[in-house]
Amino acid sequence: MSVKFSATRRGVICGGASAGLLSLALPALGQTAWPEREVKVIVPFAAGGGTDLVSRLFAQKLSDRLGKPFFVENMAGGTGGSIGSRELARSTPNGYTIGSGTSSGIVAAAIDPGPYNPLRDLEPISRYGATTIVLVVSPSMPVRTFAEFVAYAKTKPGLTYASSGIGSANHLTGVMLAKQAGLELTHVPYKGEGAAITDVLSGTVDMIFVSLPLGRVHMESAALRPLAITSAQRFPMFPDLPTFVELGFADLIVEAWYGLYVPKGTPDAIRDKLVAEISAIRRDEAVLKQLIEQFTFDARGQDDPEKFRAYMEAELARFRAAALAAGLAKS
Amino acid sequence: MSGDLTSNILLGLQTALQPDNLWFCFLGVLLGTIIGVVPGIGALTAIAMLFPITLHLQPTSAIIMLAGIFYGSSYGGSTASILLNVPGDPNAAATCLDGYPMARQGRAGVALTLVAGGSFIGGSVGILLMMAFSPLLASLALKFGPPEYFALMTLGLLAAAIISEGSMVKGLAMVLLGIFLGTIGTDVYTGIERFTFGSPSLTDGISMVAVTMGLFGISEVYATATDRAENVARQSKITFRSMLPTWDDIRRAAPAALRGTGVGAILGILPGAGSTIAAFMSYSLEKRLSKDPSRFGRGAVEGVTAPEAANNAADQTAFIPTLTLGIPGKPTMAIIMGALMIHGIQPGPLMLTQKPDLFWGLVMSFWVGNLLLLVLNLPLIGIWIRLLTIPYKLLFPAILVFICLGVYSVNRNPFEVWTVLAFGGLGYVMRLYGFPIAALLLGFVLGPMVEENFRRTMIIARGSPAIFIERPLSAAILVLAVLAVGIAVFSGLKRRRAAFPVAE
Amino acid sequence: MHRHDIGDLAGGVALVLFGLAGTAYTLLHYEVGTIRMMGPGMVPSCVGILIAILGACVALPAWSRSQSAPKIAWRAVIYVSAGVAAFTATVRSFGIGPAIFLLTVISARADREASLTAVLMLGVGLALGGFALFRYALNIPLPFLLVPE
Repeated sequence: MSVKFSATRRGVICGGASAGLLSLALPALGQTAWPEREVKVIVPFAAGGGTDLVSRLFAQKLSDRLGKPFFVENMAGGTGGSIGSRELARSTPNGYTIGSGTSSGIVAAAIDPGPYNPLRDLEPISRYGATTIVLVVSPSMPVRTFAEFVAYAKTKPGLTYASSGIGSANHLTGVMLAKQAGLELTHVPYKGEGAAITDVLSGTVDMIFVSLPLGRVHMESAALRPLAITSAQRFPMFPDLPTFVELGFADLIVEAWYGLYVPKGTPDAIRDKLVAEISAIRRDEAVLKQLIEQFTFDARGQDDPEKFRAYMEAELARFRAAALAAGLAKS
Repeated sequence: MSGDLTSNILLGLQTALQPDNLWFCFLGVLLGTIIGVVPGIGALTAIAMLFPITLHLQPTSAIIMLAGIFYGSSYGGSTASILLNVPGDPNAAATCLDGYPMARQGRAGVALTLVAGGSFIGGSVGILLMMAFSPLLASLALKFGPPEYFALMTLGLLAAAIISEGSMVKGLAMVLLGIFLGTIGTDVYTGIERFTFGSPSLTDGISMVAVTMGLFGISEVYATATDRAENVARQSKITFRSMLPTWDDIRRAAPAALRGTGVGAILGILPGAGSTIAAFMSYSLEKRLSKDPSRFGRGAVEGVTAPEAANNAADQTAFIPTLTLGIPGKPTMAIIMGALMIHGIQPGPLMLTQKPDLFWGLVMSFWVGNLLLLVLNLPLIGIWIRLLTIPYKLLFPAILVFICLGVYSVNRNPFEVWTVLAFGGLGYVMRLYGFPIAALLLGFVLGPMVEENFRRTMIIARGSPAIFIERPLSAAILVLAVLAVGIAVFSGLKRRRAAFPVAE
Repeated sequence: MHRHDIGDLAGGVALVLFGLAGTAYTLLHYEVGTIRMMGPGMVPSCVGILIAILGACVALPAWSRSQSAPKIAWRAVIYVSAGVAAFTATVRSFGIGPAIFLLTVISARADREASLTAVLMLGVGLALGGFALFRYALNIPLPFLLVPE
C-alpha cells in the first residue's frame, strides 16, 4: 500500500522536475545585478512559528542590505513542511524564489524518503542557527537528576512521554534514548508541542522532549523539571544542565536547526552572494543577540554550503537509523 | 488580590488608553470586522498575514492590534450568516440556523442588533472573568486531560444530534458521516495516511474552512441563485424601527446571552476546544432548555444571541492559557505568542509579575475593543441590511468570489477550492432531502478530537476504560451526556406520541 | 407524488453504501489494532458500520411513506459549479484577475435574465475590487495577472 502511494508521489515530483527543466530553457538572467526585483522567500510553515520568525528576520536584513524587497510567503502543510518545500523545488531557479527549511524536513525524509528530501530536491545555502531539545519531566515525578530518572524508569516500565507528533524530532529523541539507555518508554503523540506540553504540565503524561524555545518558560518558572539537553555542548542559557553526551550517550545530539535553500540549478553567482550575505548578517551583533535571546539559538550557524550539506547527510543517516529502529521508516 | 485589582485596572487603562494603542486597537477591530464579514478568510489567515506589519510596532500595540483582529472577526462573522446564510467564519455557522430565518422574516436588523448586544455581553463577561480569575481558570485548563476532552467532545457530538432539525436518526447519521470525513488525513498515532489516495493536499485532512464554506455558502447559492421569489422577499423596507428588538425579543435573548457566555467562557479556556464548538454547544443548550424547541430553526432569537455570546466569550478566555500558562491553545494563539516572543516577552506564569503593564494593558484593551466594536457595529447594521436591497443576481456572484478568494488565499492551494465545490454539492443535496448540515459540520470538527483523545486515554490508561469513571471531571461530563440523550429521546417519544394522529 | 419518500430512501441507501464501502476499504488497508493501542483502522471501521446502520434506519421507513422528490435547480447548479471550477482551474497560472472574471461571468449566467453588459461589468468590478480588498485592506498579496511560462 504505502509502496504504491510513494510511487504516485514520485510521479508528481518527476512532473515537477520536468517543469523545472523546461523553465531552464528560458533566457538566462543577468546574474551580476541580482537582485533586480523583489525576491520571494517561501516559508513552508505557518506565520508566527519559529521558522517563520527566523526567516522574516533574515529576509528583513537581506532587504536592507541588497536594496530589493525579500518578502516571505507562508505555504504551510505536509510533514516537515513538504508542501512549501516542494513548491520551492518546482520554482524557476533564477534567484527570485528562495526558501527556508528546518531539521524537521530531514526527519520527515528519514522516515519517508518518498515525498520530499531537501538533499535530493533542493540546494542548501546556509544554516541560520539551531536550538535544541530538552528532556523535562512533570514535577510529580520523584526524580531530580537524570541518573535518578533512569533508575526510576527501570523500576516502572512504560513511563509515558509526549511529543509533537509521530515521527517528529521530539519523538525520535525519545526512541533513541529508550534504545540506548535500555528503557521501556511509551510514546503519546499530540498535534503540536503546545498540546503535548499541556498534559505534561498537568502530570497526565510523565515527560516530554521539548524544543527549548517552548520549554524554556516552564523551566524558568519551575513548572517542569529539566534533566538533560540534547545539544553537543552545554547550552549557554542553562549552564547547569548536563548534555546527554556527558551522561554517556555519545550520539544523542538533536538540534532543531533552520536554514536557507534555493531550487536546484540556481546560478552559482547568486548562491555565492546569498552565502556571503547570510554569513555577514549572522555576524551582526544585533542579529546575534536576537537569535540567542529570543529564539533561544546557540550561536553556531554554518556558512559553508558543502559542510552544511555534509551535516545534513549525517543527520539524515542518524535519523534514518532511529526511524528504522522504531519501526517507523517507510521505504 | 482585590486591592491589587483596582491598581491593576488603572495600570491597564493607562496602557490601553494611550493614543497609539487606542488607534491600533481600533484598526485591529475594524480589520477584524471586515475579515469576519468576508466569507472564507478567518482570523487565523488575517493575523498570519498582518503579523509582519506588527513586527515594526511597539510590542503592546502589536499584540493589542492582533488581538483586536482575532476577537473582532467573531463580531463580523455573524453578519454574513444572518444576511446571506453564508457564515463568515466556521464559528459563525451556528448563527445561520436562526439568524437567516430571522432575515427572511424581515428581521435582519433585529438579529444584527441582538448579535451585537450578545457579543458585547459575551466579550465583556469573558474579560471580567479573565481579570478576576485568570490563575484559577488557568488551573482549570490543566484539569482537562485526555479523558475529560473525550467526555466533553462526546457531549458535543450528542448535542449536535439534538440540535438538528427533524429526525434525530438523520442528525446522528450526519454526525457520524462528519466523523468519518474527519478521519481523512495523517493518523496522529501511526503517521499512516488515511483515505488520502496519495494526494499531498489531503495529508493534513480536509480544510475545515473549505468544508464550512461549501456546506453553508455554496449550497446556499445553489439553492437561491435562480429563486426569483426569494429575491423579492429580500427587498423589505428598512426603517430604524425595523432594527429595534421588541421587549419580548430582549426578554428571551438576554438570559440566552448569559448562558451562552458561560458555555463560551469555559470552552474558551480549554486549549483545543474553541469557539466553533462553544457556539454550537450553547445553541443546543438553548434548544434543550426551550419550552418550545420547534421555534428553533425558524428565527428564534435565543438561537442567535446564545452562540454569538458564546463565541465571543470563548475568544476572550482563550487568552488565559496562552498568557498565563504559555500554552498556545490554537493556531491563532500560537501566532500571538510568536509575536510576544519576537518582542522578547515570554508568555507564561511569570508574565503577570514580570510584565504587568503588558498583561493588564492587553486585558483593558479588550474592553476598549469590545466597546469600539459595539460603537462600530451598531451604525453599520443600517448599511449591512441595505445589502439585502442589492438584487441577488448581482450579489451571488460576489458571494462566490469572496468564498473562492477567501479559501484560496489561506494556503494558495486550488485543491481547497475544489473541496469547497464538492462540499457545496453535498450540502445542497443534504438541504434538499432534509439532512442537517450543522450536524455534519460539528461531527467533522469534533470527530478528530474524540478519536485523538480516546486513543490517547487508552494509551495512558493501558487499555482500561475505567479511567473515564475514575476521574471525577470526566465522569461528571459523561453523566451529563447520558442525561442529555435520555431527555432528548424521552421528549422525542413524547412529542411523537402527541403528533402521531396528525402524522398518520 | 411518488410511492416512496425518494429523498430519505436515496439518502439512506447512499449512507449504507458509503458506510459499507468505507468500512471495507478501512479493513483492507489499515490495521484495527487493540483497545490499548488502537490502529488507524479502528475508528473509521466502527464509524462506517454505524453509518450503514443509521442509513438503513433512514431508508427503511421511507419505503412505505410517500413524499414528492424536491426539484433540483439544475441551471444554478451547472452555472455556479462551472464558474467555481473555472476559478479554481485558472487562479494559479493566470492570477486572480482572470479567475474572478471567469467565475463571475459564468456563474452570473445562472440567472436567466442577466444581461451580458451587466455581467461583464460586474466581472471587471469584482476582479478589481476583490484584488484591492485583499491587497490593500488585508495585506494578502495575491497576484492579479500572471503570464504562464
